[in-house]
Amino acid sequence: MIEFYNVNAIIDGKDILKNISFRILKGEFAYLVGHSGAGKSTILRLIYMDLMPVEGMVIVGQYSSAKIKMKDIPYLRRHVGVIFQDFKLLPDRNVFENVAFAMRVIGANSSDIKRRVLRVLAEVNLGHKRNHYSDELSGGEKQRVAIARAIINNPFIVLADEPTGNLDVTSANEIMEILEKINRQGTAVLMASHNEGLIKKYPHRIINLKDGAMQKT
Amino acid sequence: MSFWFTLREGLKGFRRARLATIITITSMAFALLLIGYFAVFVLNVDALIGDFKSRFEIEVFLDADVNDKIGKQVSDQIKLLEGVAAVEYIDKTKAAERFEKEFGRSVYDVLDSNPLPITCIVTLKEDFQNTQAISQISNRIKTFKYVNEILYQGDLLVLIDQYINLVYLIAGGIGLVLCLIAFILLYNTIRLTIFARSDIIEIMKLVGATSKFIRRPFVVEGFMQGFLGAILANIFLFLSIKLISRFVYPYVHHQIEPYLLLTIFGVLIGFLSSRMSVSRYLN
Repeated sequence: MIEFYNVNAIIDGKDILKNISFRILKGEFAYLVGHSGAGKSTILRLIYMDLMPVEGMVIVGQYSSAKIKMKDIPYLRRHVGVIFQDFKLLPDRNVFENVAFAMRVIGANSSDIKRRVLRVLAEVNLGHKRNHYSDELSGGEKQRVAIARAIINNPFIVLADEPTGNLDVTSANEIMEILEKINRQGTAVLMASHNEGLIKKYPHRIINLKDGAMQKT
Repeated sequence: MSFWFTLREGLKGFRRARLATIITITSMAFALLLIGYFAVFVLNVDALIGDFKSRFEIEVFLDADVNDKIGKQVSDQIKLLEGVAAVEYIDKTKAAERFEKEFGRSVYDVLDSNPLPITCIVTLKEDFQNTQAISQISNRIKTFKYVNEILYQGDLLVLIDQYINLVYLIAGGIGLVLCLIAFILLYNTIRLTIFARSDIIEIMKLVGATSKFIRRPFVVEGFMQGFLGAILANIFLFLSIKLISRFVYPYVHHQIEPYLLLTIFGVLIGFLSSRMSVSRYLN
């Protein structure tokens, strides 16, 4: 489903990834582990094609970095949900609108949007806060909104870039439980993290990175 | 993509960035107002020149011994010339009346008989109100029998014809520069407002919005800003002209063209600036 073949990536003239090859299978849960600057976020960016490899190839579902056209990238992203450490919510919209936004972008009709958003908000235990704005939410709740937005269009994979980095232990555990639940429902999850405690508590395959290269675990 | 969603998002942009929107609309209004003043000025100069030219006359004096019958024949002959709009026939009696009106004394107070010749006052069609056409027409009239003398204010007309193209060229150049300044100013203002909302663009890109989808609400917003800026500029322009007409110069030509120009230009600037700015950001 996701394949990296000898991928090299450069950002601002600096080698960030060197000869990276791995696969994420359908419905798999995997961690990207490594210190800050190891290239975890770069791998995620390569998957949602915010960045292209200078060498090698990235395959995401039916799309290949070698062949994809710029105009097709939005369609790839509709199959990939992304969650960030800083949530990236729209502050001028409430919870419902933040999640609905991802459906509006793909042209869904209002009745489908309402039905699906309410269902997904219930899944992340935020149905009761659908009219709240992001500044009225805790960190954990914000991240749950971001997860709801990421899964609203039924992606085949959720990419999580340090999703618990800004959260306390309880909230981090809640987020992990939700990601586990999403994974059990068949969605693959690739999570960048350096939280060893969580990785031990929710064990899955680990892709270890050091200075842009893969390490054996 | 839903049209209403695009429209709603575009209008919401106003609320989300109130200050930036107010600044953009105000800048737009002042830039357009400057163009509006210039357009009104040029139109007034053009109207003045047109007015002067429309009152331009060629006076054709016939020989002193020409009688009324022949005079009318010559007048009819002139009327048939290409470019002649009208001929006012002034017989000897009427010429004496004009003399009295002009000089305050009857010609018979000075002389025993009326020496004033029959005169034809020729006015020209608009397309023939230039030195070349006037010269051709007067040369043609000169060849007519019984025509003694032809008079017209040639020097002033030569002066106008000589400089009018230069005046219009300079006016066009200034107008173009003003439009360019307005465009650059507004393009940058709108670009800054879009840049300030880069977060929404980033999120839209992340969730799979196409460039077209991202661009549309901003273009709607730019269009509306241009339109509102133009409306504001039109209101200021209207009030300024009313005040100038009332207190400074009562002969200001008040036409619809500058208002239409400002509206079209405002909408166009808003549309193009927002489209270019957001496209640049997307790329």
